[in-house]
Amino acid sequence: MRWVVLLMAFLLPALAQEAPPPDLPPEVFRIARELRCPVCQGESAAESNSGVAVEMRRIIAEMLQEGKTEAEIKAFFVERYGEWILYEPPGRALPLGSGSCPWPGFCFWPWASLPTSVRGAPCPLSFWRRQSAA
Amino acid sequence: MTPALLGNLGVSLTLAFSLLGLGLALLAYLQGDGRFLKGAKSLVLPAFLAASAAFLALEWALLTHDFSLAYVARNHSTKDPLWVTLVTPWAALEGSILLWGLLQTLYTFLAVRKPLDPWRASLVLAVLFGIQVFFFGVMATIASPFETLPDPPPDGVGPNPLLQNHWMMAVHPVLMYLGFVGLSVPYAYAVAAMAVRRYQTWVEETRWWALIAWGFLTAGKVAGMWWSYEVLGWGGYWAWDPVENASFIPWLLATAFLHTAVVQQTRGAFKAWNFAFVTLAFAATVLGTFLTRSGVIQSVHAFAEGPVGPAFLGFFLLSTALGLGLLSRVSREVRDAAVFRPLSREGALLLGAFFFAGWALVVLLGTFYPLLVEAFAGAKVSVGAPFFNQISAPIGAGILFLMGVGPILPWRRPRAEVFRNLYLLLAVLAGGTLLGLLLGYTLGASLAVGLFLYNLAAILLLVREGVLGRKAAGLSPWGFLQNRRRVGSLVVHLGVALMGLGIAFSQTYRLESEKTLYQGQTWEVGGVRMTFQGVRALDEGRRFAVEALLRTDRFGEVRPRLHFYPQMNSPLPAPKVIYTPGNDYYFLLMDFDREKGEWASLRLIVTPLVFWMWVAGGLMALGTLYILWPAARAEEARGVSPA
Repeated sequence: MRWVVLLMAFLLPALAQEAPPPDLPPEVFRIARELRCPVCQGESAAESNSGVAVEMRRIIAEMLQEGKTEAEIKAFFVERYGEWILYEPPGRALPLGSGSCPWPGFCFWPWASLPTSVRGAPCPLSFWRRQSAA
Repeated sequence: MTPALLGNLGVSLTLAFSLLGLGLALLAYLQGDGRFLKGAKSLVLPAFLAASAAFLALEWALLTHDFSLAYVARNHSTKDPLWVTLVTPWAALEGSILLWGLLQTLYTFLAVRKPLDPWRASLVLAVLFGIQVFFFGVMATIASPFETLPDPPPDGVGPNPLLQNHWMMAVHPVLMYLGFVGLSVPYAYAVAAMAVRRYQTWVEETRWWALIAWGFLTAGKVAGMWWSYEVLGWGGYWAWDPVENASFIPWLLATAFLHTAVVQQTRGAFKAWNFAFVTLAFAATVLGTFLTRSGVIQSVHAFAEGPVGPAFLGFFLLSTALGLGLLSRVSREVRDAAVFRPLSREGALLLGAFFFAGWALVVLLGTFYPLLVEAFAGAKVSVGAPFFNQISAPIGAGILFLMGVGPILPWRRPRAEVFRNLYLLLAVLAGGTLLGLLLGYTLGASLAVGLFLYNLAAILLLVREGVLGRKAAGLSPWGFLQNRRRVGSLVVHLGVALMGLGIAFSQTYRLESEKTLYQGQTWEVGGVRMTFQGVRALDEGRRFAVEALLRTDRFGEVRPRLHFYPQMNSPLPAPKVIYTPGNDYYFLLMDFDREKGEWASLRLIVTPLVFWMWVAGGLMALGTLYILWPAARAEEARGVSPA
């Protein structure tokens, strides 16, 4: 039990409690998931249990209650921390189109298969290689 | 004899054996002399035994609480339960490198036991010994697990509490290392094949090894996802964290190789792709270790700060340069002369390879992007889950689509009856998606339903085809089960389709809510009604636990916990997860009234279909096992025969 007393003595001042934490409806987590927790390694403000993240969730809940929109809430955090706080900085993230980089090939596929099914010339496998050599 | 002495002896001896083996294997290659090769082979077992001795020495030190070892002092405490002590060797960097090295010697030992092609044998051995030299060299110099302390402390702090919270920690890292290290054997085969310019037979032998590594990687990743879900207390299984990305990239490249290798086996094409995939998959494991262990990813300013950072970076560059350098040397000879039609098995497989390679590239870019922007533009940006999810969804959908249609398409050219199957599958895809939309799901989730049903239909079509084919030939339909590769791959594909469905739904429909409840208060959320009955404290020796007592209408009493570890400032939530085939209910205790225990702050996360993701992981592992099990003997027999 000495252990517990020691622990409590250690914890109580560190986590001085004034009031119980506020209620957080699902929208809070939806917004918090797109904001970075500023003191964590790659965790969003929805996941982290650090003091800053808890405070951020509280602020989001308050602002939502005041009737602020998601954009206003995000703007508030950007003003405080810079665009870095957003997980998807506008215009700075990798071009989202890079996700579609295998897709040109995909679109090419049915098109290229068309002549085959009507017995056209087959496409050589080394096509791309020749292109790059040229 | 002390553990430190035994350990250092083991590490030095393994290094010595590996250096000697490397020298002999290279001599065997250069002189073409079988005696040197025999000598090199005879060093494989001693190296494995010496590495085992080093590993056992670390276990010995941990079990006897030998705090004179720096590693033990930093990662062990006398209060640790036995299982935690036994898994502590991979709780921190130096021990992990030792485990990696030990598994490397094990794989080298197993690789030599399989019949090796006489032209390639010496170089395969040289590469594997070379990798061993690197790992044991690192341990002997900059990251020794057996470094001693001048005045040992009476007790240590124990491993990171996150690692003690779940038994999965005993399994996940070992599976991952078995997978990572397993990729070294295909790499060795590929380097040897390119150096001796024999491009065809290597791929059959390599595919077997790659499948073993892939099976371990898959099982390891799913185990890690489960650990994250059960322990980290955020109700998710994948965060696109750099460490996760670093292990995802080799998995993607290994998956690509498993598919393009089939094309080389049956049609002799895609030789260059196969060499590239194997080289990059192995290099990616080393790069991943560099990224996650050197501290480079958190900040550019800490570039290669850790002692092993530069070593791993150098090793990455060397192994990539070796593989790709050899590939460029032989590029004329491995060029594909075959013609292929897009609407054929090989066409679908090539496109699939594009998708896997593209995905690996995008994940790599996303992981490095913040680093590059900070280095060159001085700005800080965050690339996280929203970005990765957005780009992975279309790529994953493309792969799921190809997975259904690929096995249906025959090699070379489509036959008329194939089109009937294709139209049927497309109808299932469209119908499933429409059904999802009618049920009110989002477009993405509906597409996932469509893709799942479509894949299910494709698998059923293939089973039917196999069974009917046998019946027509007057054979027992059960003989289909003996087509291990076909049946196993269908089981794996079923697992992947199920995983896709689970990911799509759990990402789209996730409900998360938090509320402070006073004693006796009832909260109804996400279809659960719970009443808070109070908190209870428990002293568990190495930690202190507080649990909230919740009475729920559907699951009886539920007790989420908070664990307080002496070495951590903030408590760790230990969620209580109720798994059901529909939704998972994830109860978390976030905070509680420390004075009177009158209130507790609770969070409930309801996520659909997560249950099926673990089933899917099991299916993927079982399917791989099914392919590998008896194929081992058949493959070995094939290797011996002169064909």
